[in-house]
Amino acid sequence: MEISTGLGAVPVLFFKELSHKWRDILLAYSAGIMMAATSFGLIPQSLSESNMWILVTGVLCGTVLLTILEKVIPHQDVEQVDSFQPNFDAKAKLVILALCFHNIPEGFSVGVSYTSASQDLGNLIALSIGLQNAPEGLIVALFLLGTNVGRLKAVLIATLTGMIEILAGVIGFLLAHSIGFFVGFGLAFAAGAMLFIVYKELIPESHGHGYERVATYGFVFGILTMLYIMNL
Amino acid sequence: MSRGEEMIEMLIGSFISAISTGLGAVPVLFFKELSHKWRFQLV
Repeated sequence: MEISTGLGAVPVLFFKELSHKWRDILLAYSAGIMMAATSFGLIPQSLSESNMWILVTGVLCGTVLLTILEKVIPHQDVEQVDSFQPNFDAKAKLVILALCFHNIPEGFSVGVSYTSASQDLGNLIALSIGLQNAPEGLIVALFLLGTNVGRLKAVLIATLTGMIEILAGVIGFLLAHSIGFFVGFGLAFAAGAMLFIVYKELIPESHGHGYERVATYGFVFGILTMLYIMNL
Repeated sequence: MSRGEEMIEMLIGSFISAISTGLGAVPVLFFKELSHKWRFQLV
């Protein structure tokens, strides 16, 4: 599991000038990782632990919940708010709160995955979620710096938005253990949530800056990386 | 694997996954200055 932290955080530490190009590649790479974890990990495992109907219901529930979350609390706030404001105002607090909410399904997915009969699935999902958390944390911290928050405080707040995932993970884990059929459903739910994040958030965010082609390679390498890890 | 062991492994995995958010933010500690250029390059 240490790989998760390493792979997730190390690349950004080495980029002295994290350009838009690298940001797009990293986002696309995370999308590839999540796509492979969903397609070759969560979905087959959900099918083997439940049936097609539960899989379909779970995937749709995951996707619909993320859709509702996005409508109620738009995820793009960080990019839309003019962050160069003198004070850490109410709007900035709202953005932080929104990010916390968006992390709940991700943490839930990790928690449920650890109850699967497939022992490695939990680690794989934690790895893929962890990888896409790293660039998210950087963007949140940059946004906070723009609102005159100190560097250390910005890192701490970014960390806290991630920490909500642990609580959500415990809830997912306990629910899946308490309700028998919930494991298959929960894995499918996680798949639906991850598919939403990949297609609605990560891929669009990696496009539109002129680096689509190289980002596509990032996406493909992400898929190959996850396939390699799954077959170790 | 017992449920307790599973729970501990889940907590470790969740923690590492969650802490990645904070670790991803660490580079801001090393930026000499946050210019508008940086801001608009990344966010």
